[in-house]
Amino acid sequence: MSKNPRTLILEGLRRSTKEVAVPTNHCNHWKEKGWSKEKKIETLKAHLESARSEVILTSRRSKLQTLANLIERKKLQSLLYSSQVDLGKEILNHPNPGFSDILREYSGNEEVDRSLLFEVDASVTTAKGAIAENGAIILWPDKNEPRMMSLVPPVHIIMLDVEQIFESFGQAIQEGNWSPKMPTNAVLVSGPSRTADIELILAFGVHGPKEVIVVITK
Amino acid sequence: MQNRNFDFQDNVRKALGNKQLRSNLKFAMATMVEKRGELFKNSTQLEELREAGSRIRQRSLAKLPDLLEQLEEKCLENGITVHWATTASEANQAVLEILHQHKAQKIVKGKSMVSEEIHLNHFLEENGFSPLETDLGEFIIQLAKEPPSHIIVPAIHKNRAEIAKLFHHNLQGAPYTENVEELNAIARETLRKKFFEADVGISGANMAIAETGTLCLVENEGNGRMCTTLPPVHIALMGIEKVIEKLSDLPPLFELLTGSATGQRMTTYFNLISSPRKQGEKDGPKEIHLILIDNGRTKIHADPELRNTLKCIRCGTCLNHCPVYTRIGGHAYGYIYPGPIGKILTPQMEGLENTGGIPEASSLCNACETVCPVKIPIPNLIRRIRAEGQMTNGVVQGHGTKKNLMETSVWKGWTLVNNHPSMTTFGVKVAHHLGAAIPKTGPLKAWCTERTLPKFPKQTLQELVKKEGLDHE
Repeated sequence: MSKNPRTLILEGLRRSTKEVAVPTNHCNHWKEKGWSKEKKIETLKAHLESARSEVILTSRRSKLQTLANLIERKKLQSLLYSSQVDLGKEILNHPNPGFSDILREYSGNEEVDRSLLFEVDASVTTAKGAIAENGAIILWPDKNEPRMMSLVPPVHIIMLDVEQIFESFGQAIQEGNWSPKMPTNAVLVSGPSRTADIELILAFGVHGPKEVIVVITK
Repeated sequence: MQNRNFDFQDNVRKALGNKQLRSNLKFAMATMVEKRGELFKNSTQLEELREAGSRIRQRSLAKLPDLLEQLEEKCLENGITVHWATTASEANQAVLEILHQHKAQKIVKGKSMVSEEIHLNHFLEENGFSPLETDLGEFIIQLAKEPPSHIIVPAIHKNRAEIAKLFHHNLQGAPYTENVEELNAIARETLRKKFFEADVGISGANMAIAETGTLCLVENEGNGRMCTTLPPVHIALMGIEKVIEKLSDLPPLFELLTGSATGQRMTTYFNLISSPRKQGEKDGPKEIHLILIDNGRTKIHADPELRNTLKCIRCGTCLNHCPVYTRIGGHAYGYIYPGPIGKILTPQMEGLENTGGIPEASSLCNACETVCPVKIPIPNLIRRIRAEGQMTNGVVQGHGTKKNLMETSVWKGWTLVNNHPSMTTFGVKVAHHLGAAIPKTGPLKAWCTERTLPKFPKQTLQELVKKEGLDHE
């Protein structure tokens, strides 16, 4: 009677590993660097910029003004956001008249939302955190800020606070409580999408956003 | 799958004679070596990182059956369906069944070396499907109807003029342009709609985490995210050796992978996929299928020394540093994995009877071993595989098939002569008188056509010492 693939594979591997010594795993533990907030911001900013992200530093109080200035500078006619997150509520309640005209939201109708994603000039989302050492923004998309918000629109604006910045990927995983339950999708982003498949020449804005702007508040 | 027309010597000769290819490769490999060097400047840190990477991969392989079971359990908990395939054929069939189940017609595909290994596209085309490659490099070679020539940059053997022609001839409405930005824009426009129309997205997985049931995918273009988010069904293909134990194993491997592959501190995106779309979520596939592929890996795993082949994280840096690869490129190797990793993997997967020449294409310079992020002892494994070619009691498929009577006799004769001083002396004198007339044919032809024949001396070293004495100063 022929065995199924799963059994065959596992049995074969069990035979091979019967007497294998398992190496001890103390070598992948991350080391705390003791970076100050300034150092974390500085490092994150430098790496994000080398990945062609734009980084804007501002105070918590002025973040919405910064966003308004950004919208004007980039001449954005529409901005996809979510009113279900705190950031979205703040944007919605801001007295700035420029916001109300351009804000767009998911409607819940897939077809409508699909067109919306393709038409908007930009999207703005929160972040789960950031990793200074890698120059990465951590996104955990969910039902309020779905995955495509950070993928389809040509410009993606990320609002991040300094308290969210981790020194290293190891620290982010441990102190960010990634284990044991991971979300449907988590993604680290360093900048606009790019490719070097043609003669290793770098070109930006392939299938993801052409521009990524990170606003760091403190 | 045997490549019936594989003539390695011929491929090498053609590649060496192809000026355009050599020029493209020289530039590309030098650039990749430089970028990696710039990133990994601190050698102490790099060595610590490589040691960590090596141990993590070793641990994964030591615990492989347990980790695969744990991965399956967690994936199932998360709603990901897990399939197991012992052969390429089983893996292809598993994909086909999913496509039929969903009456799928349009398929988009992200870059996956294991899918090339099992010849998935060819199989799907034979069954009436047209999977569309969405990674720019893969898109280019799909239009050219060629296999990838490099693990990371599949179209590296092509320059922009060649790509411009390809696009202009094959893509409706595409103007002829050699401007790289414009070429990218053409690809982007062509592919954008396809993501949204696709019924199924197929991807690989750089690794999978057993602890959480998570598939990990690195990429720069965003096509991976598109393929794994937009279509209602996502199929992920992965070799069984790619599983890692825990989330905490991720950071060192991620850093080693992106740094070694492209010299980047990190890629644009690093995707961690743990489940299909949950209730209330507005995007993401409704179904995810993970196909775990053996295709010879269990056999490789059975031998403790050869098991090290499976530590590979497919970064491609051994290719970039290999003096042979940089001169002949990937296609010359005839099978899907080129360069140093190909030299040890291909014979084990395809058999030495078909591919015994490949591990011989190495000067054992050790460059690959020095840069391998997980410290695979590639030159030792090349030597082992070469030895397997001679061994009647080996483990690799096709072992002993490189053994031939003439070579064995020559070495027996050599041993005999060198063990008997009088025979050595006689031999040297004969060589001195007749050496220059050695016929440049048969086994000596390959040597003599590329090298100058040595001058054979009148006297042996022993005779000279007797005559002149030794100077110990």
